[in-house]
Amino acid sequence: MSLQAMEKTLDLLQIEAETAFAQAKNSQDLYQQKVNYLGKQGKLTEEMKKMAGLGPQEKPLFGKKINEVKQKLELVYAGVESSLAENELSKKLETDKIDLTLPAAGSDIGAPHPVQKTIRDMFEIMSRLGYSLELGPLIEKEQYNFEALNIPADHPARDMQDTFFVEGAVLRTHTSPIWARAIERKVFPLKIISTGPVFRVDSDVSHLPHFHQFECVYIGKKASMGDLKGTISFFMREFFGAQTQTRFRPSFFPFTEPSAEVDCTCPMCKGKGCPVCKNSGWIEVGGSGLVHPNVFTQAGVDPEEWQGFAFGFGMERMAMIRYGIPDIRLLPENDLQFLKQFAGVGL
Amino acid sequence: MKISFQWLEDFVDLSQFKNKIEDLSALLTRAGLEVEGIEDPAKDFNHVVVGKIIVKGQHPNSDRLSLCQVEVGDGVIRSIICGATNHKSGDNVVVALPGAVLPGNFVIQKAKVRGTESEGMLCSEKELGFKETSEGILILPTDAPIGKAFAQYMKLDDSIIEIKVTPNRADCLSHLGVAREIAGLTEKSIKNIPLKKVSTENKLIAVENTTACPIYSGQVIENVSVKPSPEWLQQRLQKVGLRSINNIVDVTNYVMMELGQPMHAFDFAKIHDGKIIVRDAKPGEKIKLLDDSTIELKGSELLITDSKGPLCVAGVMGGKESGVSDSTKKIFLEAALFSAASVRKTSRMHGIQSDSAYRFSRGVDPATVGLALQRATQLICEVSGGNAVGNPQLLSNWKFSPKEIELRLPLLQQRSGIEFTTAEVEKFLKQVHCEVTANKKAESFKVFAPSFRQDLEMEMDLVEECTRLKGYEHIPETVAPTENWPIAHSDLFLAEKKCSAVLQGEGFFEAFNLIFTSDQLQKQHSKISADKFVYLKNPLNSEMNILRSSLFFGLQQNLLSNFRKQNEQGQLFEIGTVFEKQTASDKQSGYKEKQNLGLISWGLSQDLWENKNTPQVFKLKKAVENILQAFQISRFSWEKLDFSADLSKVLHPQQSAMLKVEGQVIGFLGSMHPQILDKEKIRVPVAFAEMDIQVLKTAMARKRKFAVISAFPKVQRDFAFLMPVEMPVSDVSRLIEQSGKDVIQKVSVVDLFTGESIGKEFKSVAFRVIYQSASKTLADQEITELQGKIIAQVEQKLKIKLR
Repeated sequence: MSLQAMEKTLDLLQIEAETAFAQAKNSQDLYQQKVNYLGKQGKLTEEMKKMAGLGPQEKPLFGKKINEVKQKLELVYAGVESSLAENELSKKLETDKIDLTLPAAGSDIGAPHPVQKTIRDMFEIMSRLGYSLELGPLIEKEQYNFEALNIPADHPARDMQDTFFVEGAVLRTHTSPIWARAIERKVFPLKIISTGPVFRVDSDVSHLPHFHQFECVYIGKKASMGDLKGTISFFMREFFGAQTQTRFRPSFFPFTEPSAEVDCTCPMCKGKGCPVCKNSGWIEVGGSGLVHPNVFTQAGVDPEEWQGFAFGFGMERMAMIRYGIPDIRLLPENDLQFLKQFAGVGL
Repeated sequence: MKISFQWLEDFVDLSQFKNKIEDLSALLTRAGLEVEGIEDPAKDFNHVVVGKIIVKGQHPNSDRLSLCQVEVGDGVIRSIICGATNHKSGDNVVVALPGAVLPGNFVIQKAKVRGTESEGMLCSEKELGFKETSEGILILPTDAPIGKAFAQYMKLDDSIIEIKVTPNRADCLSHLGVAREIAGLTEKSIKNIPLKKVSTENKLIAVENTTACPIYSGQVIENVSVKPSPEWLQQRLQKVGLRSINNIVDVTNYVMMELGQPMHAFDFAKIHDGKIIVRDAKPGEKIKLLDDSTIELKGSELLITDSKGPLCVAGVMGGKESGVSDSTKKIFLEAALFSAASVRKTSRMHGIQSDSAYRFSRGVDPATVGLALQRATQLICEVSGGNAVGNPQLLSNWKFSPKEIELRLPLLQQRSGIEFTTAEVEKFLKQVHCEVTANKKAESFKVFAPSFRQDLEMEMDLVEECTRLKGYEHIPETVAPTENWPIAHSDLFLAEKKCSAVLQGEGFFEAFNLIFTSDQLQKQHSKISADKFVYLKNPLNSEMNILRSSLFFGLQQNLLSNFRKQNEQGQLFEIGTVFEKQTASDKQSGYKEKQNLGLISWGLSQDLWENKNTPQVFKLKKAVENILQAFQISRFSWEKLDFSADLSKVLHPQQSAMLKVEGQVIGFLGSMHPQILDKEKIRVPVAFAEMDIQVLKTAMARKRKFAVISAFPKVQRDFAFLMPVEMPVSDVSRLIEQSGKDVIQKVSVVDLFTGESIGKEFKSVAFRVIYQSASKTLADQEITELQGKIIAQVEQKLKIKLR
């Protein structure tokens, strides 16, 4: 076959291949056509084999022509391929379509109990002042619940705390036995937080027989009512907000002398007066005082050498004030509609 | 404690507080006598006046009703219909005019009764709130001034101050006591009631136990006539919350409220031989008390007796027999000091509470005994027409010897944080009726407290007195010195906190349940033997008579109440203490307290994208495993639940497992037993888990350590085994893991198949194993060889076949 005829065949093959490429329905089809024309056994390769029958002058000419056709076809192929791919991608994207307003998978975030959350937040505050948290047994010896805290057997102060009894022991009526035990270790100075459940025979619209306290105790060479007030004031500002003011009222607790009831400006109305604070602008939040000399003496510590202060709060009350919870009985009910309101506050 | 403003005025000048009761309230609260409320006893009697029935006529349309023409001093004659029968023309009566709101929110308005208009109401004592029941309307004395406001006529234009008296201030349990405090605070003097001295000659009284009864005094009064008390006496008692009984008893109560001294009156005729003996009870003796109960005495109680037997439980409650009755003509009036310890013990032992016991157990002023006897004698003679026989008699083993307390000025300043001048300290201590002498340099004071302030015992008590009188508002806010490095926090608390955070992230909500449950419930659900139950000696009720041994009881209740509130899907956890009593087998006595974590989850998620086929319990399992992971606990396994295990009864026997951590069983997990769900009509799956968190506490100390990350490729291979349905899948996966320890990164289950095609007794489980070496790229052939070994191991050891 003459060179001209062979070149003619190549031209026709090129047109045929270009048409086949252009008509490919998808990239797979296109690839098949590429194999048909440009592959190892493809039509172009077949044509190339015919070169053997050409003369030495004709060979390079034909070779050049084949290369031109091949390059041209590859170019066409790439063009068609990219346009097909683009097309296919946009189709795939279309079919992948989902409605992201559908609900998310997995569970909702949980919540801490508001009382526990309050304890943990108070812990963080006092921790900053270097107070260390200690726990103690709930079934406590009478000795630590009462005598060690200057509440002797026939003392009327025992009426203040109606006690649950088990055989040979009591359910602690306050968290103070934790620090009474700590004083007995006689390692001073001492700054501790004692917290946890406490129990009193009392169950009505405003009392639970099982509730929680949070107390802080400081023992050092010197401890004054001023130090006590300063510490509580700091605490209240951290807990209820920077504008919170604190005031003391004289009171009585067997294990402190002098003793003071602690009020703070009502966090609801900022001290202006509202139903929560009965229009007084102040709410009662806890008790405090200087550690009674008898508590030191009971533990075998000289009250002339060591001094201390203590303050404490009822956690249910604090949580109720903080979150505006109207009824203490909501707390042990564990209704999810209640707990869900605190979702995420503990994270 | 209710205190009447008018009554206080008998003892102290209160003119500065007239119409400024809030100032008095603030003064008392600031000084530590917290005012809890102020009541206006006249508040119920607006538009209630004294009136006169001019004519009592018949209601035209009723036989039972009268139609009265009533004058109330304003010149208008009003027609008032009345259903009572005890009134007649000319009687003075109490008239509630339209606009009045009587106790119980009883609104008075003009109204037609059987066609005739009534312009008000004639009131009975019941309607006025004075008595529980009354017959007929209240007829006032003929001298009652017509038109006068009823409240004023009754001297109800008073203020009743409710004071919260702390246990240390027993001296403020009387009007005299509160007046003394106010006198001190306002620097006024106390008005004394002029009284005669009490004679100490004694013929009538013998006291055998002078420790329990340091002072006993008595006065015989004869020719008394027992009858209702005069209005003024009734009113004063009513205002401070006491019921009027008769003139004699009322005077004893009056003196108690006035001076703080509990008193008792005996019918003299009932005292055998006319002689009083104060002695300890004999075991088995019985006495019928004023409240009609009879108690058997144990022997340690102090009694007032005659030669025959008990008359009265000293300081606690009088006897029925020897009490004053309508027929009493001669009385023996008692004022005594009984020791706080004795009265308290007796009152607690027998569960008897009384105003008298309350005061004695807080401490009564010894110096008041004689004064009270005199005061009561005078009043009784006045209101009952009686006359005192002979001298009052007083037997006393008490001598006032006030203890000297030293108050150091520098100490006062240091402890209070406030600067005091010597003059101030002297002034303050004198205000609380102490004797004070400053030493020469005025650096310390010698102080003697008065007999009624038994709470002032030591220097710190005086620090409190000076500080409160100065005013707590003067205490500065200072910073407590930091003298040491903080010690470590409790690991248990930190572990709880972390545990809670992990579970919150898992979508759990933290619950708080009371630690009480019932022995019935615990017996029903728990396998702990009943001798390990921690019983309360004084439970609130039988539903709360023991301390829980598991968190199950509370969480199950939460499930039920949430389900009833249509919270049909949820998950709760609780971290709390559980209890066991230690028995002989524990080789120690006392109680075991354990900190547990309980989890409950119910109702598969209704979520659109959730896999609804995963059993509920697997979510819970994941939560527990995530906790273990958070605490770096990797050596754990789930094994078949041992059915001797506590609470195995509440779990589905085929869907439960126990958790072993580092060789020890620390908890369990399972679906709730279908019987329990059926009984409670719970129609959704429920899973429950509980574990001891001691292991988490211990793991708190573990440190994280970096491990080299392999740079070589991971290879994944899947293969399946045909195994008996009963065989735990974890047996196979664990064996695979162990067999290729160094190069196996992870073994997971990718498919679980059961079906007819493989036989009922078999399941096919496909595992996916990821191989990766830390030191080289694993060649294909190496992996194939290793896998062959692993499969052979599994087939050989577990007798199962590769599928």
